[in-house]
Amino acid sequence: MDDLMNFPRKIAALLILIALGAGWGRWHELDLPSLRWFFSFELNESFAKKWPGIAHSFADTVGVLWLLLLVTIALLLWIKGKSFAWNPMTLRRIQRFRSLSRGYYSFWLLIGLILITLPDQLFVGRKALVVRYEDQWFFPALVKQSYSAEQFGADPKQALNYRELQAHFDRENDGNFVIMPPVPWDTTFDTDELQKIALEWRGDVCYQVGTSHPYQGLATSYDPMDATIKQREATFRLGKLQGLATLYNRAGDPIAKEQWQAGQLLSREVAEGNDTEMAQQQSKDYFALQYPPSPPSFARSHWLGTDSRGWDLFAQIYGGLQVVCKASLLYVLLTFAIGISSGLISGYFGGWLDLIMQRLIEIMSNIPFLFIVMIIASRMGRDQVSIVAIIAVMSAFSWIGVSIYQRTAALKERERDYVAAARVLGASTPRIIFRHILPNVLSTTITLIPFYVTGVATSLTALDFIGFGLPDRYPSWGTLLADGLANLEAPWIVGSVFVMLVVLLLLITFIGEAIREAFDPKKFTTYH
Amino acid sequence: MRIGFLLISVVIMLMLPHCEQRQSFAPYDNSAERAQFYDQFNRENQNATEEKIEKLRQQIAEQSTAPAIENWRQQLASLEKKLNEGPYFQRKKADELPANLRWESNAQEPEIGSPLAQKGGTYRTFFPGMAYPPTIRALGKGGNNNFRAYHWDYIEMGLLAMHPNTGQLIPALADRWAVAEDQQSVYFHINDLARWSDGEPVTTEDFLMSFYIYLSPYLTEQWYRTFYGEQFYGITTYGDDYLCVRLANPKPFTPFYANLLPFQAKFYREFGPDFEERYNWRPRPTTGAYQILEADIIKGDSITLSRVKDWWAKDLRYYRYLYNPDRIEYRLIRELDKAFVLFQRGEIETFPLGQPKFWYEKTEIPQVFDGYIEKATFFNDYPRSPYGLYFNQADATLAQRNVRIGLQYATHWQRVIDYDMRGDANRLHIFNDGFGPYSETNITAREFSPTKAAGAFAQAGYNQKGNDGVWRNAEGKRLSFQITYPKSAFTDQIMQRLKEEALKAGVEYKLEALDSTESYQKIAQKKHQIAFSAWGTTPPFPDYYEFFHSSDAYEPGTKTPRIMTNNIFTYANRETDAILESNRNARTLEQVVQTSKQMEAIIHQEALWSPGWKKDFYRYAYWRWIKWPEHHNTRISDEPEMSYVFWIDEDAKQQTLDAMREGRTFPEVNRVYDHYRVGKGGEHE
Repeated sequence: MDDLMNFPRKIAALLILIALGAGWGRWHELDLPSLRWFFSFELNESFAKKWPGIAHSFADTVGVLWLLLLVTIALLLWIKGKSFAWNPMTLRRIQRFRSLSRGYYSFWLLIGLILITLPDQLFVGRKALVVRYEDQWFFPALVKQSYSAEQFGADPKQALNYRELQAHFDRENDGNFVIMPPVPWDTTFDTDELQKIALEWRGDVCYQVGTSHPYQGLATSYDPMDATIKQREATFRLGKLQGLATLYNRAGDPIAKEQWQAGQLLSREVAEGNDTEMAQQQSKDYFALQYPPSPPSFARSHWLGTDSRGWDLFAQIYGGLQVVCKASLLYVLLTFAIGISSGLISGYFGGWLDLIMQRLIEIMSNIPFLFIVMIIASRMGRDQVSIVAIIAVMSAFSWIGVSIYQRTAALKERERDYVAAARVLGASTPRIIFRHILPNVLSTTITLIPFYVTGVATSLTALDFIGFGLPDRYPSWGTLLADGLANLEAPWIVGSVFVMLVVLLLLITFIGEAIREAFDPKKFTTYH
Repeated sequence: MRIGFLLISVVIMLMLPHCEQRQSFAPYDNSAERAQFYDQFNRENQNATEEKIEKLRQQIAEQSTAPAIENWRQQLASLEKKLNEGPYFQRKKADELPANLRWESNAQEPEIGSPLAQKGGTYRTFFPGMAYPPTIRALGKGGNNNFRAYHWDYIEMGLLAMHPNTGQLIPALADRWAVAEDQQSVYFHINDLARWSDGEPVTTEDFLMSFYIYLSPYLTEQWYRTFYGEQFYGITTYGDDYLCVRLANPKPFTPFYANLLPFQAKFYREFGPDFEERYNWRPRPTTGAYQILEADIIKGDSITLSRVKDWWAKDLRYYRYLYNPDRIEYRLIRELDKAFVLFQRGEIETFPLGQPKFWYEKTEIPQVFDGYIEKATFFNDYPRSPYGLYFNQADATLAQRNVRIGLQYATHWQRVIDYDMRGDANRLHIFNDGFGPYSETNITAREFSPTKAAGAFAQAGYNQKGNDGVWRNAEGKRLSFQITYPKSAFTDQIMQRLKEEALKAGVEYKLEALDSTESYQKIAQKKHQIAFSAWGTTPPFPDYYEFFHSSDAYEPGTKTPRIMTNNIFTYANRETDAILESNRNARTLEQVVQTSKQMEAIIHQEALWSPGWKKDFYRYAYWRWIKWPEHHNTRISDEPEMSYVFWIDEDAKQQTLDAMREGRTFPEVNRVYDHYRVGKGGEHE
């Protein structure tokens, strides 16, 4: 068994499973968590207008290409993996990495974080996992099809809201039920209803229920018969009515003004013709209206509270982490593919090619890439920008670092005897570069990866922070950070994003340091 | 390396304003050019009129059954009258003035402001728009900027002014005026006291200069040339003190339309091709209460207005209690939050609290609790800016009425009002609200309703719902629209709310937040699909013509949208044009009322835009040494600075500062002034 399923073959099997799952999900119009990502690359709208022919099936084509890529890699791994044996030096590096416990545990923590992002809409999302309605089962979160409110007997005039449906079924208690994801909020564009927080009188001082500080701020009382009709808007200071209060009639028009002083009514001015309404009983039950940002609340499933738009923070941070993971994946693949090939080629051939490449690199490294991204984003219009576009621009500028390392290493390696030997044996140039030189120069490159990941995470956050990054359909830490700084009186916003960002960057940095340590050529050096 | 570059560029940028040299310009005198211009313009104008008359006569003869025939006849009569009256610019002697004029000088209106007002002190505030103005010119490129109102529109005096409480005309530079029988010509007598801040008397020559500038090709804005060329039939001076302004159409409230601002002939003698550079930072003499002194322009930092010494109108009825602070200092502060911090420290006198965040949360501070800073809500009676989504019909999908109606049902303004504005605004139902009797009250804007939206979309062929929840038609075209708007944190929030709610009604809004200049450009080029916008509005009459007339929609005879006009709906309809013309050229107030109502009905039926919200009050906080008249501000105003009735009480300031030092407090003040509230509750009719 061990021979058949060695490490590369396990990876191959995993890739095949992913490809099969994604393909199967697409075929059956399912929305499988994370696997749906491969089929989500829509063509940019301005391009779609230019080529309406391909726009229609673009996402599917990209998805199929992804799957083909996965399958190809898997097949290669499977075939090549037959005779796979761990290089003793790699084993020693891995062992060394394991012995660096800070980096090693960080590595598993990061894997854990990434695994948490995989359940996707099953963990964070507004669509119900399961709906049981009149002996039928529905799985809205897992299918592409969207249901209407009518199908579940809810008010057909309203858009379907599973959270309300859940409350509705709970009230009716007919055996229908809804199971929501643990965080029942979408990562973007999902606002909670306005919350009324009850205040209670203790003696003649008013408190927010469950607190010991007298209430300070604005409060509203409602008609005892109809809780949607407001009666009085008043200000509380140290738990007592103070200053101006406004009274409203049933139509919502102001009918009187009152002046209060430490809980005592000083004066009341009633607009003409409204005395009878005034005489009606005035409710003494006050509510504080909770406008966003609202603090963490388990009752409303806002684990970390909401931002100033009223969107759930946990969901956004979770979505932001997903974006960072996907962006890192694309970015590292693209940057390193370009960087490694260009570096090796330029180093191996040298001469004119090298000279031109170096000048190009010098020019490009002096262009501030953040400005370029900003210019491109504003030219395209922010809503047209996609994660692929941003990553492409960032990669177009950051392959340089990888390339420089690779070129230096290739310059050194091509003079080695084993390269000469391979050449004498008649190996082709690509084979020499990628089969013989690459494995020997890879160690420097691998140590770079973690720092590139921190780079992409901070760049994305920074771009969103200054308002030139991804459009608002992407959850973003940068936007949250900006929102948190503009609303410092709601510390949970800036607090949670900050903690998350620091944790992620720390983990990756620890891993990076450990990898560099483990791959340190001063410790182990042998040549193939 | 990169940091080095950045540092150097920052240093250069910081130094630039300081090492800017005073540009010197070659001497220029336009006196001869001007004299020639008046003659030439007279000739050309006369010829053009004759041509127009000829063309109209022909048109009437050929198409005697056309529906617009009455309109044409009227126009013809008007043009013939113009020809009879003589050239555009006429200079006559004072004794040639018609004898039987009925002069008015309206001295019956109540005084403005409070007799308790004290003069003196410095009122410190910040540049609106959080940017330094590009120029202190009022005209020419960049002249119409955020700061213009504060040194030009609110300060400079015209021949007449509108009483900010009663809305009646009151004397300004002219101490008396008379409307001719034809309701088309208005005679003015310039007050003998009227002086420019440099001591020169105000004469009729200064008003001839106004026309010279407005009609000059040296001005970037085409608008003035068109407006003063078409809406006026000319100006006649009678000596130095009397002038007659002739309008193209008889108007109700004629003197209001004939009102003019003077441009000092002496100061603008150098007005020429390089006017924009030459006058960029040249402080001008003013007839108003405040002038900008050369030493008070600190570029990139501040501009200060100073009260004119011995201002000619300082003892006049209507003016004596206004313009009280000696100096008004505008500082450059780049962010509102930062401005608020300075306000809290007492370095700024008043602070606008339009955004709920400021009113409800940021002012819950000790300075307010202790009564050092007071808060006020002031109900005004000012035309409401038409906030809303403007649909551009140059877009084929938006050209369908049912789609537009569906979009109205899919746009949830009430949620924005209740949630993001915390109920502090009302739904706007019509385009021109707040114009008193001229505003329609019987129209209710379409409410948010996914079912009604679905019905309207289905009629337009959008009856299939995709998996993304967005309606699409048989060809698979989705109801997805881009909203272009100037970026700000608060607007972002509002647009995102609309986007979230619209999706519930099967519409996708894509948000394009641009820098305000960029957004303005894109909308003015008619390249938008939907624009979120609003306009500055001025009393007393609503304007529809510039927004809906077909001449401003497309280039004549083509389907190319006409750029740089206010018709950002790209709406063109022959029948509506007739109503618009009749609205603009109305001779009676009834006609204005009637045609305005007709227009609002069309705007509603055709769903030309999605009306957003209106606020019938404004709110602000101020340090307690800023004092106000009994009813706080004036009825027709939309910000504290607009009427200059406040004053600085130096004793109260000292008392407050002492109290703060010693820890003494005052009662908390949060007042509502609803004396002028429109409709409900207030005393105003």
